[in-house]
Amino acid sequence: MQTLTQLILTGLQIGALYVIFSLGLTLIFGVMKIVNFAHGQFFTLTALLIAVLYPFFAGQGYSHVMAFSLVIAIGILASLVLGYLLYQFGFRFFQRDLAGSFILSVGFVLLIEGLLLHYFGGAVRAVPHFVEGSITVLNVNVTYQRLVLIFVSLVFTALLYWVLGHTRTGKAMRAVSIDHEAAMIQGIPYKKIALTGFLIATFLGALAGAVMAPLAMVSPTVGADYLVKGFIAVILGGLGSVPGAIVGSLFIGFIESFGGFYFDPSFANIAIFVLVMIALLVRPNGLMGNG
Amino acid sequence: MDKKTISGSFVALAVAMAVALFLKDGYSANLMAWMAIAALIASGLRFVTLIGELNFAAAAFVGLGAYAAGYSLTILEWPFLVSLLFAGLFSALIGVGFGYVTLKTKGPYFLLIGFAFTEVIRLIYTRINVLGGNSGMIGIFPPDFLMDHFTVFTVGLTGLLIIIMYAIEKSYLGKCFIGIRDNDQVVLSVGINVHMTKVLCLSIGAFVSGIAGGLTAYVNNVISPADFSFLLSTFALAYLKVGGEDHPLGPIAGAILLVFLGSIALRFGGGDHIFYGIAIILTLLVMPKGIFGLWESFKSSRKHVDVVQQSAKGGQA
Amino acid sequence: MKSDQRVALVRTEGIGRRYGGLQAVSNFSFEIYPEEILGLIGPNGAGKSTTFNLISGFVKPTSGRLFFGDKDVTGWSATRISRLGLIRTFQHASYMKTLTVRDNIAVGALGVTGFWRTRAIQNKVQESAHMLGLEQYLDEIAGNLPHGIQRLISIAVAYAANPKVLCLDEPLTGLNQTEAVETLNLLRRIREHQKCAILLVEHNMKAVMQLCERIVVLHHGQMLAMGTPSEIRSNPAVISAYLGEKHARS
Repeated sequence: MQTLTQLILTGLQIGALYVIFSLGLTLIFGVMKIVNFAHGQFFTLTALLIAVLYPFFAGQGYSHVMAFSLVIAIGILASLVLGYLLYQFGFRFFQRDLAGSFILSVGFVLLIEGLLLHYFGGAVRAVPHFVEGSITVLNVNVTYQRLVLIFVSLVFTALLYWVLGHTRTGKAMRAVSIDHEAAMIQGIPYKKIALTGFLIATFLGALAGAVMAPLAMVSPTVGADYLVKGFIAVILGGLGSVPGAIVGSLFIGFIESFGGFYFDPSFANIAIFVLVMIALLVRPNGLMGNG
Repeated sequence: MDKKTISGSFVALAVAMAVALFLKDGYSANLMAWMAIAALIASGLRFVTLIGELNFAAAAFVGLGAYAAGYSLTILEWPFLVSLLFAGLFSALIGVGFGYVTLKTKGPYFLLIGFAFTEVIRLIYTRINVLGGNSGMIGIFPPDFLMDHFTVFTVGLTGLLIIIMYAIEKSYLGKCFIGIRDNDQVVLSVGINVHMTKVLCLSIGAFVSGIAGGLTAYVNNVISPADFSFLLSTFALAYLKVGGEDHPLGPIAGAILLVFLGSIALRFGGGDHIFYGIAIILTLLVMPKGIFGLWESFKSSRKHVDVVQQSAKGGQA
Repeated sequence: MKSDQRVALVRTEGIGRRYGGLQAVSNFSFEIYPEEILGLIGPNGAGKSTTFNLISGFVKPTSGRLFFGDKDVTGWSATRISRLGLIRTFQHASYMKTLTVRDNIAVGALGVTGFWRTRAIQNKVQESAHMLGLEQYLDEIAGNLPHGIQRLISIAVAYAANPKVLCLDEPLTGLNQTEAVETLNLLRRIREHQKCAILLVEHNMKAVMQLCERIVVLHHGQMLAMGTPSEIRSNPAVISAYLGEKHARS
């Protein structure tokens, strides 16, 4: 029973991370109809900056909380700047061009990952927990850090739902996602909405990197593995569907947790892939896409 | 396909093979072989774009071919040509299975599932001990009589396959593929099994990738799972985009240029990823139709100038 | 209405299609007889496109059955049904825009001919181009040609597939009077030469009345009336469906 609870909690935690990550992916697809292969770079950049800058600020005499908050802010800000640059000098010209934008994003991945490797080196770094200590929930020992991850995921998912449902910008994004021509005829400023959507997605990718950093090893290539899973979650749930991304992410999280425990991690990955293939056979546009 | 193109292609191929013969052995010969293999993978990628899909799983099929060749040579001890053919057929077979399931989807879904497929296949190699696990396989050598001139064989075979793909493209089957890309509903309405036709196109692409993989194994003599990750697909994409995806010579031009420049970049101390990345970004932003796209628009603007000049002359008469 | 002794080529029995809460077509039974020209009309949203999709296999019925001759083809895919000889066009851009006219028609032919039979396909292309008057455009790219020619290309592609039942979805849209009349004559010639039945969905009422031997009227997904053009023209239910109660009473 304890194992089951532990596994469920782990599945929830893994899934929660994928949720944050894949929400950004599906949002960009919904609004701009493009697949951004470089989405993982926001994740990586933020995580790397946190890993490198925290020791620096801590060494400068800042308190733990102060240093951490500072580096998280810097990390996310850096990613936002990067996102803005990628949009302005790249994706802006390739909206609704799937092949073109994808290949462009591939180019960005090669460039950015190459630069990150060059400047940060391939070494793996560790980041200390934001919150130390643990708590016993339902007979299971859970670190506060993991709870923070789940909490952050919940909060920002709810925030995203609220934005999409109750703000003008959010509703405009949904309109564009459903029918961008109709949206433009209605006077929705498409370019501004696209940029906003892209930056929100960038923020979510960076956030994922920030919450992941204290929990796993950080290196310039850390984005890649999460990228595969993130894309799988989004395919499963249906590109452009926010609930779909959540369902897909949690599903993958649970398979990873249970599969990794009863078998091993790579088996879990293979199992995930086979399941996605089967899902696509039945519903070619994802579980919640319009098949 | 008209006679002029056929004879022209074979002449060009013969010239290329002569160059390879001249290079004999050593680094330049290897470089030429890599260019040929890169051109083949990129051409295979282009072939699948005829049905309007970007086959990101190309790297998976290359890897499957490489391992099929390596396994059948070193463990089953099959003769060279049989093992190479097996590489192509094995990939094609997997391609049929993969395509049957995934070609029910389109565009971004097909793209991303190809990406996932590549990574999972790579994972599977690492878990199979007889394939060498993480370390891969070694000792994949071509037969003695070909050893010194393997580049000639490589160039010849890749050239032949590219010509065959072009012939298919120009045939009615090729028109069928393009028709599906343009308007698959209409193609469905005239009694064509669109799904199986797409699967056919993909499996031809997989066959070609498999042969490319087999050649990779024989040229490099060692293979490992890391050689066949999604990065290989991204490089193939780069060759295709830089060379120009509309013209059958595009992938060849892109492959030759980028492999060449990449080898220089490597010699100046790593960073070939950065280089490829910049190449892709610049091409897309400045010349989205690639090298051959530029050439085509240059040709047609010259035609336009002639027409304008003619009508100007006519006006003055 | 006299009962028909002929054997129907295509027959629907209470066919219907439901989309979530919306019943697009319900309990629709009609027949298409050999070599007849049948019109399918109705106000916007009546279910004409859905009917087209149902009989051609592009959409599966949620109720009822579909027959081709005496074969039950309910639930068959579009490919299988078109192999039986039911060839349909689409309302918008029913052709392949980057291919030449020649290649467009060739693709139309090769499904039923076999892509390896190049001689037979070439003959079919010539025949189809000749019938539709497209010989001078054969080597032009379809997407670059004027709208009226593109309409003809769509019909040429369908014609090349050797139809027993040719289903045309609003073939006269965007054509001027002269072009429309020419197309009507063309359709009669096709019927004569190919010995096929023609099912026409059209909004151009004059054309429908002129060309069709029988007309079926759909309204809110259900059959409202079926009969000859004069019968339909004077049917009060049909008139009111199109024009409103006021005119029916006058």
